[in-house]
Amino acid sequence: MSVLAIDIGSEFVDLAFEGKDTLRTLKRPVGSDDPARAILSAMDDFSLSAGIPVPNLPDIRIGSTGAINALLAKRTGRIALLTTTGFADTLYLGRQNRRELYNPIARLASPTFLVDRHNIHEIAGRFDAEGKEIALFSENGAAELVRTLSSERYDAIAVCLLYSYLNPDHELRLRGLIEQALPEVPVILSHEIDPNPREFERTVSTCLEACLRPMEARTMAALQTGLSQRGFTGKLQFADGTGRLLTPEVARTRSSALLISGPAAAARHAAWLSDTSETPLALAVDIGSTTTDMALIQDGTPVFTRQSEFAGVPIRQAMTDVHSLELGGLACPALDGIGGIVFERPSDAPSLSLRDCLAWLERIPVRAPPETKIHLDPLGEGLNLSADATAEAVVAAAEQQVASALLKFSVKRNVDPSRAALVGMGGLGAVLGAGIAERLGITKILVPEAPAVAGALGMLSMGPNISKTLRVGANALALGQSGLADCLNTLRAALPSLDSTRFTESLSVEMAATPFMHPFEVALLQPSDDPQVLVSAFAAQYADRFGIDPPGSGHVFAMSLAHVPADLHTRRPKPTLPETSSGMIASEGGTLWIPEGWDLSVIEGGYAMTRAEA
Amino acid sequence: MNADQTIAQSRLEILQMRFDAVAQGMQETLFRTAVSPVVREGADASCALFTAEGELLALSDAIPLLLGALPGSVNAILARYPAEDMREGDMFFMNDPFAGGTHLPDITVLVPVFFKGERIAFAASILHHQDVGGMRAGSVPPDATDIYQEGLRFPPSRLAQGGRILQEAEDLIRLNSRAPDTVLGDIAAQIASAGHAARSLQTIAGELGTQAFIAATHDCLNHGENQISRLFQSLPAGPYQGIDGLDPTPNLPPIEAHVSLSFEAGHLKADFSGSSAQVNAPINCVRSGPLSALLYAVLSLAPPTLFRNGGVLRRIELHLPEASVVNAAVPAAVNARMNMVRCITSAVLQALSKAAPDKMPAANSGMSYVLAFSGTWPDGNRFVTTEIIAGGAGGGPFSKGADAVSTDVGNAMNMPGEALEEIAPIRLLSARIREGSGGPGKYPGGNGIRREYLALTDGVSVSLRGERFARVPQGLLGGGSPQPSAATILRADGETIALTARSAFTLNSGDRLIVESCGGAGYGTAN
Repeated sequence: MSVLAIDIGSEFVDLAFEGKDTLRTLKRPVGSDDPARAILSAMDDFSLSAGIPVPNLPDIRIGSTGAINALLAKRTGRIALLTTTGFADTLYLGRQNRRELYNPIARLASPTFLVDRHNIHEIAGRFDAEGKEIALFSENGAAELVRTLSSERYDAIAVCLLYSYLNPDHELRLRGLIEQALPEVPVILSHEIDPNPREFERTVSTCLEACLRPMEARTMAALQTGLSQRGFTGKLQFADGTGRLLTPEVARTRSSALLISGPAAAARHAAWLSDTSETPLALAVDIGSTTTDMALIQDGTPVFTRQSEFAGVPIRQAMTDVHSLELGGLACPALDGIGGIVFERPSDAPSLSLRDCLAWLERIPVRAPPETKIHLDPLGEGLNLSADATAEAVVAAAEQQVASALLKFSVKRNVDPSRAALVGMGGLGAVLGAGIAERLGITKILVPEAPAVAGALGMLSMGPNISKTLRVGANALALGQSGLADCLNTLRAALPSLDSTRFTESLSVEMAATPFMHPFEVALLQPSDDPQVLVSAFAAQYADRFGIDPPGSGHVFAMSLAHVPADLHTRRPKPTLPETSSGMIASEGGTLWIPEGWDLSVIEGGYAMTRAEA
Repeated sequence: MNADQTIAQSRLEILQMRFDAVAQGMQETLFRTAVSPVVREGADASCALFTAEGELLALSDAIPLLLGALPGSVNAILARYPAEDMREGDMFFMNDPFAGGTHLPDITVLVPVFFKGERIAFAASILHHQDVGGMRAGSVPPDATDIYQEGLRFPPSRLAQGGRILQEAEDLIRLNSRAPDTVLGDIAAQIASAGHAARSLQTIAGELGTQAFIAATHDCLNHGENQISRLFQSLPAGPYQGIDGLDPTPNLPPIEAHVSLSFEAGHLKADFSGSSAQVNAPINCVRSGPLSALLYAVLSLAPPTLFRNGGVLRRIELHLPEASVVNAAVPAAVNARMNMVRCITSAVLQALSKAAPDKMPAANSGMSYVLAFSGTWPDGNRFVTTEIIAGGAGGGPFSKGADAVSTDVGNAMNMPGEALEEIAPIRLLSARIREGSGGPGKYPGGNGIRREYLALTDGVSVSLRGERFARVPQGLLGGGSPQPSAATILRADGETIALTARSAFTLNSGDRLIVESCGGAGYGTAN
């Protein structure tokens, strides 16, 4: 069975093809504003160069950072938002806290760019905290609102009403009315996207889906048409933020689930590499042109989360726990005023970049721009350093900043980075990897054979996302055996029959000590309908995380049942050891920088760098 | 700097980052395990690490208002319980404002951290507890005139021995708090956060060795001191004056904070002479207030590469008049000190804006509401909940001020309607940006907030502490002042009652409460 995986980023389309005893990779500039066209064009290039006609491809998988880039550039769809009367400003009030604690210019930590304030409308009708209707839904008000919406052109309409996760009736009635008048406009309901309390977070989830869905739907439609025109009749799948694959039908209804598919795919490859090299704990770092993405790998699996922030947007959904730092090869160094270097966003004005400094130091296989020295000198004057030493200082500052972010990321997850290996991916992950590792006390770095296309490689080893989530909202003991059994039966009925030759069942339960506390996920590899098993598992995992006993037996917010592929382990050969094993090692698949004190060896599917004294 | 020095500094930076990350991990643990809504939703707590000698080593990213209280509280505990006598499993607590705390609900928990039998550091947290007794539920009585009415005052005391909470400490809390389970649950969260710190610091000490670890903490502080000294030396000497004041209150004299900042030989000297004498109302603040204001102001002026530790504190000198609103003495009431600290912060930022005019915006709202609801559910169960409501940010120097945001020494989060209504018989009818409340200007000030509540049962006691009902922040460089704060009760029978900045009252079923916060000041002349 052969698979073609395509990962589109802001500058490049990365491809990885795996057939019987064959692994090929390709990197092509994006070259078009239209992602579908860019993907199809890169695929045509691959088809031509590899001599594999598109109709012969049985399985194509797509991942993308397009949605993240759209969010970073604040170029998303034009949407309207409908809220309960009195709550039109929920998004613009945020949670009231600011983004940077010590910036005297306060900036609200809320993604207000998702919807213009004048496109937010209120609708009468309300439920209470038990889901009981306390104000009637206004049919007349809704009709008037629909007329207002009809006078504007929206890409989608988001609806987030108070307590819809307890009673969705008003949201459903609104969708019915809107779809009658505007059948072509997608209507996104909050209880379907994020059925959890706290209105700000649910509003963000709903608006995010509304902003992304039209864009993703256009891309998917164009892609399917293009593939069809090329005679493709195989299976098309889309990578999601958990590092699994969705069918086009499901992907079309969960665009926000695709948001971090690119970084999640890279994390999936880092997990594969960690697993094959028997590395139980690893920190994956993928350094591209504009961002650095980091993920934690434990026991050969990426760690997941239900709450994160990406591109300034708080996200509440199951996803790979990826943190993104706005620092990449194009970042511009500047003096901080107290003897150090900070990085600023890339600007259109001619300026020095991290990539220029690496080129100046001959650590990447490109020629430094002619004006590099002109830009290095003023920076060097401020630091009292020569041009070479300034470039070194810039690289050291970048390594320091990534190390700092990685340290915060890992400590926050109760992981001591010095006990982990580093997985260096992306254009610069294996170039800056040694410097980052040294700062964190890490002595082993794993690098994929083609680090620059790690996302596409990650998609090759993905399995399908077969899972369902049920909102519960009850104490575990109060649910009892019959209640838990009912929940499991409901979930099993919603999933296809378990193919036990290929999959195992996995249950994760979102729990907190009391209904008011913040939940975390309790994983049960053996689903059980015994409430005592659940309560004991919760207490043990709570104590393990926090070092104290939980102040309650355990409230169940939601249960998720998944079919986990039994074994997706692909064997791959070791690459050839390069002739040189220090300094810059460049190939089509990416670049490694091996400084003094580090040894290079080959492992299955990549390389290992080890600190000589370790 | 030569290559060896660069590497040495880089290693030190990593170490400071690791300490910062440990403090942040404490904060995360606290929020994940806290049981009270004001911490879980409002984030009203802060954590820090201290060296083995008791100097500040690292801060969490939390509410600056609280961070400034930790050094004084730690010093007070160490003065009572010498560090060399401490053993593994010991824990200490205190809330005495006059010994280093803030106000009585803010309890500090201090835990010594040992590695191979040797004390290597301290983990400390301060958390706003739901009720520590006193004349009103929530322990923030707006009508208090002395500290004795505000609740239980814990001097530096032993909380635990051998890792177990002492029965007498638990009994003291159980007998005096209206919400003992919540208070003890939150103290358990503070202990959990210290446990996180201990495990993480022991890992670092295991890598470095005990003596190298302790030496490294000193190096971090020395580096922070050098960095801040360089920054202070780069600024014109001054002096720079700032003045701000609270709303006029009947039967109280005008209340103002005066500050004069000057930079001398790499030190920041802050002289608060001229500030008003303390008053018989709960708006006084203790020494931790001006320290929090100054620490926040300095950290916001410095680049993010600064080591945020006790090295910075070594270079800040405070001169505080005794028994004043900025340095109150026993028996002053202090529970509503937040707006006094905001007022001091406004004065400090005003002065700093003269030293670094290109970095500082116009004045923020300089206020937050603290609103506490308490009473009994129809089923007889008690409820107590507190929320914090921000104002607007000052405009400029490059753009409009942000609406509805926690500024300067505050950074509390708001209470979602879907969280509030589950824990109290209160309905949040609306939560809006208060349009037109920001000061006009080339870069207008951000707008404040308007929240409207409905009582669903009789006998809901409300304690409201706000500010800027009369005296509003001044605009900068021709910018205008914002609209003042306001609060109103709309009784079910149609009566309307305008409230003052500090009010205590009861709502019955059908009564409404409208709370409106002040905007930020404008920057530059509007076209």
